[in-house]
Amino acid sequence: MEKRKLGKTGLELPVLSFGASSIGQEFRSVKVDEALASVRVALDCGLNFIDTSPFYGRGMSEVLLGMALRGVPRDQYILGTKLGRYDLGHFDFSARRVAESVDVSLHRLGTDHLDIMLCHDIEFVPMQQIVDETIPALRRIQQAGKVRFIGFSGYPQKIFRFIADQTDVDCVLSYNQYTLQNTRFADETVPYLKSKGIGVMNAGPFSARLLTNAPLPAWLKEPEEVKAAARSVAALCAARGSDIAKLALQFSLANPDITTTVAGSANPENIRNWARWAGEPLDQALLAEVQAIFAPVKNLGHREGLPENN
Amino acid sequence: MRLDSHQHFWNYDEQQYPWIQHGWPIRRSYGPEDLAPELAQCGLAGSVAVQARQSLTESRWLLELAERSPLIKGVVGWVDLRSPELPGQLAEFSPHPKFVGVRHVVQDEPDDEFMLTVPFQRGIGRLREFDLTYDLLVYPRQLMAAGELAHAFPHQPFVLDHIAKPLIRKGEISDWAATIRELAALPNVSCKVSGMVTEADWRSWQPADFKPYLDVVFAAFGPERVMYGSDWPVCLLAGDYGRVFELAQQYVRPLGAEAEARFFGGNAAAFYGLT
Repeated sequence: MEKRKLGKTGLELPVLSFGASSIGQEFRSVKVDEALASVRVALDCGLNFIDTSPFYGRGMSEVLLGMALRGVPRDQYILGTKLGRYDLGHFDFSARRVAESVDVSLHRLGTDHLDIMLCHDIEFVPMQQIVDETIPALRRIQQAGKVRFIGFSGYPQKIFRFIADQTDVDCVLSYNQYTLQNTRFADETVPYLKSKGIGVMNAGPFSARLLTNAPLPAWLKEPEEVKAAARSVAALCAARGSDIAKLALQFSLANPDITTTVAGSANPENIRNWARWAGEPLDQALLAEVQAIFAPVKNLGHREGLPENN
Repeated sequence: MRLDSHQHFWNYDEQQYPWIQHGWPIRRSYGPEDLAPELAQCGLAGSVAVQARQSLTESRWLLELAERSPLIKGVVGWVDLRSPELPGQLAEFSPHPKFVGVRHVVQDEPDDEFMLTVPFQRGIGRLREFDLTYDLLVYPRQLMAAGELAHAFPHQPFVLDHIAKPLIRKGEISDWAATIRELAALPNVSCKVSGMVTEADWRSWQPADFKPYLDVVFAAFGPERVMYGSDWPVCLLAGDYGRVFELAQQYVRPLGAEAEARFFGGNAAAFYGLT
């Protein structure tokens, strides 16, 4: 698996990383054996950066990851988790909870240090608290050696400048905004992050199954016209003997300014397919056709979190 | 370019410079015309002028001097880092090519953790957007907080002024040395070898008094993060410019020509972005 440097951190991440939200059963009920196998397959395929959160499965993702990683030497994988979001509507970015959250995640994951710790979905709270309280608390924990690099994640592109104009972070994670249909992360934010030396991570190349042949989750927030365009694209890709998911994944991985793209599945077969696709060339002709179909709905997204953070 | 990385100017006024005491020989005005012969006799091409008053007027005045005097290669001014007006202040000064950094007189703040307060850190967090450095003016007891600050903003360049002013005249060194080493472990912090003679016995200091301190600083920061500063005219309290320069040069010369060139200008030019 090709690797790229993450900002100024010195970390080298695979271009495709393993997202552990699926093994927290965010998308469907998963057998434990299957979840554990997915992690092993991901590592075998070179997806050795693993991204999780205490929010995924309300702890289940971290717990299962901890089990799956037992016996795997710590230097064989890079581990990132998050803090501050604990349920759909439960957010706590206080300094006190930061310290607790780090310790709980370390315990569940069975390790003494986290490579990356992100403040999770910060657009749901008044973001000045992240600058004034959460990041300083994380820097103290970093000094104590429990986390190596810190940053934040979320959906609206506005969040990145709001935080990084005011304080130093090592890396950030955006999701569902660098895909076949929506490239706002690269259009609006990545050049800014690059100029500041902040590490750039992306998640959700399939935009929560929108850009796959799998049934859409009920909570998918994309507008109906976007879903309709995606169905047309899926049909076109199938007619060309390809797969919308393959094109979607290869598109996200191809941008050299994005260090890694995080994708998750609790199905080992999916992960093997992705790793194979990552090594195959992107079909530029098909991409041009697909982009033409998406053009009328390009960059259409949704609001997330507090209105003022969008 | 050979440089003095730290000196001051003032139009003497009793109310604006209350720390300049009665009977001190520096109770008069100092401008670029006074500095020029001092730099010339030491083969230095220019200097960085550092704020001595905490006002926007001071920053404006130093920039006016810098516009008139080619000797002044850079200005470290003052802005109100804790003010909501800060972005406007930075937008006023930062377009000036010689405005290279800011400093707050933290050594006079009664709270040793002043640098860890939210309003101050909000201000520090804004500097990078304007490509500005920050000068740490602290006493040894404030070095822990300085380290926490520099750790919290790892992309922000900091320089420690006056090696944090250890009490050289009393030989106090061990606690200072330990915290200096911790601070120097952070790669975004440099150190000015300046202001030392006024921390020694003004009348009887000898070069040997400073060697243990210089050994600590050079070992901790290495040859790429140390820069010569005179702290003129304050240094005149304890010795003339030539003696202060000579003290530094005697220590650095045995380290080799490259280290000497870095110390007398190269590092300061790189840190402040001086041309």
